[in-house]
Amino acid sequence: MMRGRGIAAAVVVLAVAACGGGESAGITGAPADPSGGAAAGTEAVSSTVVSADGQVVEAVVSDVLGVAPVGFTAQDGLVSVEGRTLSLAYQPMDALAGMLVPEAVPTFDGKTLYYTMWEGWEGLDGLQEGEVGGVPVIRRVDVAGGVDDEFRRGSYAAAVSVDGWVAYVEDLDGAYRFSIPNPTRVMVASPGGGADEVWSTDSDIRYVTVGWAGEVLLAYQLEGEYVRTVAFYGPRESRLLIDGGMVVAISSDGTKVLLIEQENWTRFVVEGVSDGAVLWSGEIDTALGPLSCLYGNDWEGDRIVVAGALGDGGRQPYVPGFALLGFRDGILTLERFVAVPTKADYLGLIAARFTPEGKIRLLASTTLAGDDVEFWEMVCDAEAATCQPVTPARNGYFGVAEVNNWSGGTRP
Amino acid sequence: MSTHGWRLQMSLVAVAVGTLVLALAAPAAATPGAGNGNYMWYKPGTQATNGTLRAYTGYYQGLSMTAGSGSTINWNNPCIPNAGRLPNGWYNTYNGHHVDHKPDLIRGRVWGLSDKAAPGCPARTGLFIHTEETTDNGQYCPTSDDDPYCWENGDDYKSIGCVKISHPNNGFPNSVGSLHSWWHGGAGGANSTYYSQILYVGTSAPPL
Repeated sequence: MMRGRGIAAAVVVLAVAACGGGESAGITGAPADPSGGAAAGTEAVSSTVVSADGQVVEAVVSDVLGVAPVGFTAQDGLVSVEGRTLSLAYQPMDALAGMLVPEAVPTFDGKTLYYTMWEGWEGLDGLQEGEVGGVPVIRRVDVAGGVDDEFRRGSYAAAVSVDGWVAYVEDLDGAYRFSIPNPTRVMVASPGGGADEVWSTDSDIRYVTVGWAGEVLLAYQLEGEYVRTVAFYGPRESRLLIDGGMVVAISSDGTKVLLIEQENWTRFVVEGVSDGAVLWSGEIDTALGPLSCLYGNDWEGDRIVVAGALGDGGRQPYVPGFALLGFRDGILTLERFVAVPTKADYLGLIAARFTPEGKIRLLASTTLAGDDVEFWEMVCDAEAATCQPVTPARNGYFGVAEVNNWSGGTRP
Repeated sequence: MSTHGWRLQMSLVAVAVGTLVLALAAPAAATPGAGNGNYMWYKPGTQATNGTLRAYTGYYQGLSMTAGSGSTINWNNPCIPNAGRLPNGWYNTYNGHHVDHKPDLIRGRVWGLSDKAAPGCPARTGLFIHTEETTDNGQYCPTSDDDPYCWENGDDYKSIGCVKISHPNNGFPNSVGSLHSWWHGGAGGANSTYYSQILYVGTSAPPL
């Protein structure tokens, strides 16, 4: 197939999952204070965190709650596309792919939005082995007209290429069944219509489509929570990129992918997507310990931003924050790590994005009592080392929308 | 047959019947499950690597061992696949205890767990209790790095979505051996065996 390239911002919704049929309840109460009760913008800079060469600095976190910008959160079924707020028929969620992949994604021209919702999902308590726990449905929204209709049933994890090819996975029996394997196959729909193509060949593997790196489709093979990252070049044409690793970021020109090994979350690998060649691998070590991060960060030009932490959680306690990395001359280097202080007992930084204004957006979470988890986001200035929190929401009863480049190749 | 012989035979029959009646009246060997008081409780710690796994027989605690769940700074977030600890609540097992979960992934003694989702969060699937060992319960440590079938150090308590317990290597306790003995001591079966409520995860004791 032939596909061109262009330039556009992409609004993507990552899954944190919502409960059943479009519900988005649970966003209640006053906004939390993500600084854990810190005085207004006065979190002291700790000398133990700041390195002498300025490579590691500590941000001052404002206690003034900001207005949510376009991106990250999509609450009550609202998402922003090209500066417009859309009201979706259902709250985007993905009960299986979770935060691994975008939960909703617009086409390159911003005219259409695809998102996943789950019918009949009421959690898993009380289900018996093999019992249906929900049916994933990909829906398609005409941004201009507001029409929100069903695109593919029994399918989830839509990923849209710059030319409008829509990849997704189709559950082989059309529904999630409790505590048994739920294999899927990788499908690709043409922007011009016609029958969807089957790109995977296995019948016993659960795939999740991740995103596009130019004309190459990236997908995960899931063995429970063990992940292999695979590149698809067309029907029945694929290559293993990493065994036991996931995608951190896709380069904005679509030629490279930054991966991280799952075993320790500190070993990074940069690969070319066309041939799987390892361009660089290693750890980013500092005096405060190695940099670790999860999946779902951002790569613009030769700069990468990742949310995560320094330290190993043991002898070197975790220092949460975000890192600016550079990939130049075949070498991945740390340019700056901005620690994000908190007085809360626990702070996890999950994902980071560059904003069009040159700021950094972070998705963070705080674990409260039990399984109560509060997600919130903040906008940071890396140079000034300041952060302003916005839009908290509890327990993931919202999708997480973001402007990102998980359709690599969308920018030169 | 003499009278004496007849009486002896009847006595033996009576003893045999009595034994049978007693045997039938005695409770069956209690299988794993909270309903029989044979269950495990994983209590998360302050880090991914310092939780506690307790095993109970007839509601009495028989084992307590260090265990881990989750990894990275997000280890305490059960909403995050591949890095967060297991969500709270009861877990069933559908394939009991067995050897190897797909030999290229988890080798040795392993207990499969049912899927679970924290409220408002995606499902966690493919969950296990296991250690790092070979199919024959040994150690394979070919490199100086972190080998998947070798218990090198305390970092091995970290997991991508399981409960990890130690193998007796490098001075660590034989937690997997102890749990294995506990399991079969409670008449736990292997392979494709269903047991309800075998593991509870939470910071407070399980509701029984």
